[in-house]
Amino acid sequence: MGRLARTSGLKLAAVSLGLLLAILLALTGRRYAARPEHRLIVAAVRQPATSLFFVAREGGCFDREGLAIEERDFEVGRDALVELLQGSADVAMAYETPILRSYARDDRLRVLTTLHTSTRNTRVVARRDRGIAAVGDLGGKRIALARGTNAEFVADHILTLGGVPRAAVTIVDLPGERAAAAVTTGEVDAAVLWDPYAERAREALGGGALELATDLYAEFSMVATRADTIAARRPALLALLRGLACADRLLRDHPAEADAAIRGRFPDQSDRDLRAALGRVTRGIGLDEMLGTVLRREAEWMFRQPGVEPPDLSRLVDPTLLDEVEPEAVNLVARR
Amino acid sequence: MARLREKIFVPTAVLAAVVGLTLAVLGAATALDSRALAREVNEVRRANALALAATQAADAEQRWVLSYRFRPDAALAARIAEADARTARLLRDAGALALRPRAAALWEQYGRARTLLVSSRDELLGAIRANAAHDVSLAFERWHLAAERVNALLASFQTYHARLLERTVADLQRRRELALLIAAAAALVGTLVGVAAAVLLARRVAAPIVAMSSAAGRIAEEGLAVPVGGEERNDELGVLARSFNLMTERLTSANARLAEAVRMRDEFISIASHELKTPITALKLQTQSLLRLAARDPSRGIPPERLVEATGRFERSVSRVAALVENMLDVSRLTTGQLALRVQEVAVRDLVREAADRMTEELAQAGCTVRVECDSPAVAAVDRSRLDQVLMNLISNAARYAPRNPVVVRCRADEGELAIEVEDRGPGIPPEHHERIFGRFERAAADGSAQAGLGLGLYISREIARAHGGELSVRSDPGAGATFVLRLPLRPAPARAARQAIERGPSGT
Repeated sequence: MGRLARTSGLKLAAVSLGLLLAILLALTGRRYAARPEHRLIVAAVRQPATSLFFVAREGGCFDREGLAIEERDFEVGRDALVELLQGSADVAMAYETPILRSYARDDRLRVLTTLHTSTRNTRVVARRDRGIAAVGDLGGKRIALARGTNAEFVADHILTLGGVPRAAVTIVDLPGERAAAAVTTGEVDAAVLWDPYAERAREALGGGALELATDLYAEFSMVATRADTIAARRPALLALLRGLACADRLLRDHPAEADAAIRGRFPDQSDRDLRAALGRVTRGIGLDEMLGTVLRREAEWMFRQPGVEPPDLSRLVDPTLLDEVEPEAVNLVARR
Repeated sequence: MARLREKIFVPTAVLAAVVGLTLAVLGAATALDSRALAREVNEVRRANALALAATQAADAEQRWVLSYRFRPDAALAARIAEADARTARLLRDAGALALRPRAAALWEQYGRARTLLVSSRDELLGAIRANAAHDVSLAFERWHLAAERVNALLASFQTYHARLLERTVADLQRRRELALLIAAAAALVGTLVGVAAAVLLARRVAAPIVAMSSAAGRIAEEGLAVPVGGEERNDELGVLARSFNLMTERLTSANARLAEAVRMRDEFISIASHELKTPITALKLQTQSLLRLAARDPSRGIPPERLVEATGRFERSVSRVAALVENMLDVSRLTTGQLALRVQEVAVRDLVREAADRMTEELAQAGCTVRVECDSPAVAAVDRSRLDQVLMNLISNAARYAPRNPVVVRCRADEGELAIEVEDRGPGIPPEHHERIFGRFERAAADGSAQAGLGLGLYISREIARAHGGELSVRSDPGAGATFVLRLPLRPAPARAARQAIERGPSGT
C-alpha cells in the first residue's frame, strides 16, 4: 500500500474516531475531574448492630468517595439524635424508637437508610434466681432499661405478648452499660439490653441468666439527618450513602475481611462474643415496607394516649438519596 | 507509486469501516439490550406471579383465620389448611427461580416470617378451639404481628420487582436514545467526513481528469497543443498527465513534420511541374515549328539541316525531362528503400576522368575549365553508373554555381578509403547552409537566390554515397569557393550500407 494512501487512511480514521469519542463522552456526561472533598460530622453509636458504618470507615469506602468523617461517639441513639437536631452533627445513628420520639418533637428529622435489622439483638436478660423462668414471671419485677430507646418498646412488647400488664413491672431508667451492671449485681431483676451489654450481662450471670426475646419484634438502626442538611449538603450525604453501599458489598462479598477490619472497634469484646453479636443482626442498607410497618406500629404504641395523634410519618423517611445511590435497596410501597 | 485506487478507496474504506463498525456495535448492543430486557421482564413476571400468588394465599389465609376467630368451624379450618398448603407449594416452587440477591434475601425473610406466622396461627387456632379468651387475645396479637410482617415482606418483594422493571425499561430507553444519538453522530461524522473526502477527491482526482478532458477537446477542435498539469503526481493520474503531455508533444511534432512534408511535397510538385514544363514546352514549340515548316511546303518537306537541328533540340529536351524524371524516381527509390547498387570493380582514375570528360561541353558552356588530379591506381567496388551520376552532379553544380571559374577534380585513396573532391572557385557556401544544401528541393545560391532544377542532385548524391557506406560533405566559406568531398570505402558492403542509408532516412528530415 502506498505510503501516502496509508497515511491518508490513518488520518481519516483518527479524525473520525476522535470525533465519535468526543461526542460519546459529551453524551455520556462523564466527568474525569478530581472528586471534590466532603466532610460530615457523624454522631455515631458504636455497637455490633451499627458496625456497617465502621466497615465503611475501616474499609476505605468513605475515602474513595472523597468523604472525610468526624465521628462523635454516643452510647445510645437518643443522645446522638440530640446532637443532630441541635445542629452539632450532620448525621446521626439511632434505632427506630428514639427516631420516632425525636421526629415527634422536630419534624426536620429525615431517615436516609437502615444499617441493620434484628429480632434477637435487643432482649431481656433476667436473673433466674429472681424466680424468672418465662415472660409471665416478670410481673412485679424491677427491669432496668434506657428510657427513650427501643429497649422501652421491647419491654412493653414482650410484656404485652407475654400477657404481663405494663403496670405490673417497675422500670428503672439506666443506660445500657449501667443497666447491664445493675442486673449483674442484682440491683434489678432484669434488664432490657442490646449487644454488647446483653452478652456482657449474660456472661457475667452465666447459667443464672435467662434471655427473653421475641421474633415478633424487628428492630432497625438507621442513619438520620435533617431536611435542611439534605437541601444544603446533598452531595456529601450521597457520598455517605455510596460509602455505606460499598460496605454492604464488602460484607456480602468478603464478610470475614470486613469483620476483621472492624475488630479494633470493639476491643472490650472477645472474638466469640463479637461473632455471636454479629450473628444476631442482619446488616445492610435499605428502606423497605418492613421498616414502614415497624415505624407505624411503634408510632401507634408511642402515641397511644387518648386524644394524641401519631405524627405524620409520610415525610420521616426520605428515599430519594438512597434511590439515587442504590435503587434496588428502596422497596417502599408508594402511598399517595 | 501510490496507486490512485488506494488513495481513494483506503480512506473511503476506513471511513466506511469506522461508521459501519460503530453502527454494527450499536446494533449488537441494542440487540443484546433487547434480549436482556426480555430476560429481565420474564424474571420479573415470574417473581411477581410468585409474590401475587403468595399474597393472595396469605390474604385468604388471614381472612379465614379472622373468620375462624368468630366462627370456628371445620370448613374454615379446611380452608385455612388449603391456603397453608398452597403457600407451602409456593415456597417450594420459589426455589426454582433465579432471584437477585436482594430479592432472594427478601424471600428468605418472608420464609422465616412465614414460619413464625404458621406457629402463631396454630397457637391462635388452638386457643380459639380451647375457647380460652385471654390466650386467644394474646395469640391473636402475636398472629397479627406475624401476619403484618409477612404482608410487609411480600409487599417489599413485589415493590422490588415492580421498581426493577421500571428501572430496566427506563435504562433501556436511555440506552436506545443514546444509541440513536451515537448513530446520528456517526452518520453526521460520516457525512461530514464523506463530504470532505468527496471535495478532496473532486479536487485531486476529478479536477485533473476534467482538465485533461478539456485539453483533449481543445486539441480535437482547435488543434492546439495544450499541456495539462499533474505530472508531478506519483499515481495513475500523474502517469496519465505525463503520457498525455508526451502524446501531445509527439502529435505536435508529427503534425509539424507532416505539415513540412506536405509543404515540401507541394513545393516539389510546383518545382517539378515548372521544371518539367520548360522542356516539354520547348518540345511542343519545336514540334509545332517542324509541323509548320512541313506544312508550309509539303512537297519539299523539312530541310535536312533544319530537321537535324530540331531533332537535336528534341533530344536535349527529352534528355532533360528524362533526367528530371530519373531524379524523381531516385528520390522515390531512396524514400522506399529500393535503391539497389550494382557493385563492380572500377578503376578510380578512369571513373573520375570519364566523368570529367562527359562534362566537358557543359563546363565549356559555363566558361569553366576542368582539371583532373587523379592518378591513384586504386580500384573501388562501387556502382559505376551511380558514382558517375554523383561526379557529374558535383561537376555540373560547380559549373552552374561557379561559371567562368576553373573546376578541379581530385582523388586519393588510402587506408581503404577513397576520397574524391570537386573544387570550384565560386562564391562559396555559408556554413549555415552546409547541411541544408543536401536536403531535398534545396536550390538556393550563396546569395539566397533560387536556382533552376528540382534541388535533388546533392540529396541524391549524398544518399548514393551513404548507400556505399560513405559520406558526401562540403568545405566552403563565402567568397572562397566550395569543395565537395565524396568519401567511400574502397570495399563497401552495399546491402548493409543501403539499409543504413534507409535507416538514417533522407537528409533534411
